Amino acid sequence: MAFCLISLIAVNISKTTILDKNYVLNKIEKTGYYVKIYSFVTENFKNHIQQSGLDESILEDLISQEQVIQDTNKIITNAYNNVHEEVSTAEIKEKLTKRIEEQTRGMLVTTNQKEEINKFIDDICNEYLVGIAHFNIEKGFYNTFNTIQNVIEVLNKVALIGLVVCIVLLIAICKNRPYKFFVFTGVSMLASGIFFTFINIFINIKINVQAITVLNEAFSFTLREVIETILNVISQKGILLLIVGLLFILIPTAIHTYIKNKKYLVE
Amino acid sequence: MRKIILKTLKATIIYIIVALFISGGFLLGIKLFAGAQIDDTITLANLVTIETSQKQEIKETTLNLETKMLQNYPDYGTQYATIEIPSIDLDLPIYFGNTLEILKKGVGHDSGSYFPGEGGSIIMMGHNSSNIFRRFGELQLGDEITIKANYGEFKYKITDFQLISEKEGEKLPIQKDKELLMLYTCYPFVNIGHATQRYVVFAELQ
Repeated sequence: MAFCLISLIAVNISKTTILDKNYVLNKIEKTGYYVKIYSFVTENFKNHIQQSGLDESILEDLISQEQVIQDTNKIITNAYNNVHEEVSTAEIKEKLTKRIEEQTRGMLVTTNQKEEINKFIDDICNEYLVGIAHFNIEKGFYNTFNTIQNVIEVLNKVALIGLVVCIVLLIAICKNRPYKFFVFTGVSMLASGIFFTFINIFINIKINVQAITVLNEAFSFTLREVIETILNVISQKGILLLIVGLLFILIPTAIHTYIKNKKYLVE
Repeated sequence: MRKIILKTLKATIIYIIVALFISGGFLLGIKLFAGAQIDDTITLANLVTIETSQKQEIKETTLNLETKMLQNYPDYGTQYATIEIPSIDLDLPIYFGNTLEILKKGVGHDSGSYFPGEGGSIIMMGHNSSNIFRRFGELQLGDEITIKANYGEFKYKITDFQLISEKEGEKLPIQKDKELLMLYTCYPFVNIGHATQRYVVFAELQ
């Protein structure tokens, strides 16, 4: 029964946090992810401008924050809904090509230079894709994410069925001693509470969550916030289970002992 | 009443111990079945954490005049000096390293070359953009270059200019017979696309 409780709570925590698309979108907005990733990508564009020989003005307002929000949400929807809508860089390509053509009007541009310009445009588009969508890792991420979602669903069903079976069995075993039902339930809750509390303490000791840095600062900041929230939820549920478990043990035991003692005195 | 309380407490403690055994059993089971994966996950998580909470002792960079070697070299990616060329109104920061991030901000110092004051080849590079080395074409022989490092000031005089290929630029000579500053940038100074030549300015310590 403890195993079923732990599984159900773990599934519940996952489903209300990291596996909930709205939760993630909400967190992204709260942590200012869109603004940070927009700055990150536009700064990275500048890594390519100086060696291109082109004027930096061609990168001005190349992308908008709305575009970043749309494309980021597209990536998230891809992951949660198991679809594969591509992030398009056609608009960026078109804008850049037009601006470069204007800048090089009247200049003699060799075939070699045209190739270099095309390479520059491709580099900028790739910089956008890597910055927004981390396209170098997205396939692996989608597959892993879908696997986790499927495992969680199976675990949820198994744990639910297991819990119902345990409850039915407990009722059957404890029909002559009803207080035992509450005590055994309390022991399961207490065991689950100890488990979650231990996990929370273990993770906090082993990993410095606030120092996690992955991909870029925008993503890292949001990831840290999500992990901290999940750990807080685990801690709260753990403490709640500890308290409720103890009460489920203490109160029926006290009542049973009192009644037993009273019977003994009467006899 | 006391008896009831004691009996209740005794029973409760037994149940708590049972709960501890159950949760301990789960944790042991997880450790046995997935211990390696958990260790790998923790290792991976720790690999992506940057320990900024640890106070890093900032050690001053100094030049040992006897051995002509620096003590406490600057950290990679940090600014440790500035470069001034009055003839072309140039005053820029010098960073240790030559990544794209560094070259965006100023002058990069090739990590395979010596530092100013060490008596060897010093290789620095910068983009040919208007805010970096665009005006290198206006430099003349004899023009002064001053490098103000956080461990001393060094003055150089330009002795030569060379136009070399990109590949040759990657193999500028490193020697320790005399202090020779080599600054290079892409050539042509105004170009579109990838420049395949490098304009190198040679300067000797005064």
